[in-house]
Amino acid sequence: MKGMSPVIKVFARAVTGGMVIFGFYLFLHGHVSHGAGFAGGVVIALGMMLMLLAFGKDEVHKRLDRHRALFIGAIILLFLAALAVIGFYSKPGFAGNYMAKGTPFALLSSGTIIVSNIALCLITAASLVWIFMSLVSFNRPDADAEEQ
Amino acid sequence: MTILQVLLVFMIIAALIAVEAKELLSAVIALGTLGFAMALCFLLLQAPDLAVILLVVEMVVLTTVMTYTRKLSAPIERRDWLLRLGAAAVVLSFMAICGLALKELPRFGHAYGGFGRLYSTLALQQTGAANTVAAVALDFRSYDTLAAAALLFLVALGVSSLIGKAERKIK
Repeated sequence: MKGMSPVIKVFARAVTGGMVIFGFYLFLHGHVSHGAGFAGGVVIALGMMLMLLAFGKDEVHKRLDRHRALFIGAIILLFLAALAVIGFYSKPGFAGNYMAKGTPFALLSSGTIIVSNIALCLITAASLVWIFMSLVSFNRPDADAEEQ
Repeated sequence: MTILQVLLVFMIIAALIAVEAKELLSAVIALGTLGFAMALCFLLLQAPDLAVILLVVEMVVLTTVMTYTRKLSAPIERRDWLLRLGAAAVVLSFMAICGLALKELPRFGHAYGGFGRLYSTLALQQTGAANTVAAVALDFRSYDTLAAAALLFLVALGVSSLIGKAERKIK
């Protein structure tokens, strides 16, 4: 997949930072306002996809290929499973909410909800980026001839 | 005619255009407007979390289809008219049965069962989270969310292994 014209490259560079920050906002405030893990992760993955479309496959492949996305996703999934299993040895039981619940509407409140929000966001982003990178590194021998 | 009914008719028209379009690009654009109208419906039905997730997933799906499909201006071939008549008959009878069944549903906001009211009243006290949707998904039903995250990971694993297999076959 080739990159696009320099205008799009400058625009993508300017906009992707804002998209990633918006994704972080969506999942960090997931327990206070709308959003939560899945929406934030998808927005972050969309930022990566904008970079992929604007700069081409080779530039992004140097920084994040599909094996690295697999590694990140697997580690975060193990962390989420460990969080649930630790709950097994505490009062609310398996996958319960055993951390301290602070004051409502504060950012650091509601126990394990915010920690599993972080893990969910990263898992969603890593899985979607993994799918994009797999689809784009599929080198069909006649692909470049048919590309418009 | 409320706005919701207008949006529903618009969604049906967009779906028909997506099915009957002559070009792939027109079908994809019709699907995009269908998703956007559905997100507006969710907003009108007071479910903003669903609307946010639907919009971002719609963007992902549309961008993926438009990037990784080879020829978007390729014409789509049509089946013969007898098969389409049979399909239309099946769809109309299904809509009639659904209309009869939907009359039995309770009014909007007065669902049967006590769990909805229980979750709404207990969410802030027991979890400390102001967003009831996040409290239900990540505290009361966190095992389901763990399984959903694992499912997404498995889907990505399946796609990656299929692509790897196709790569090896070409080489």
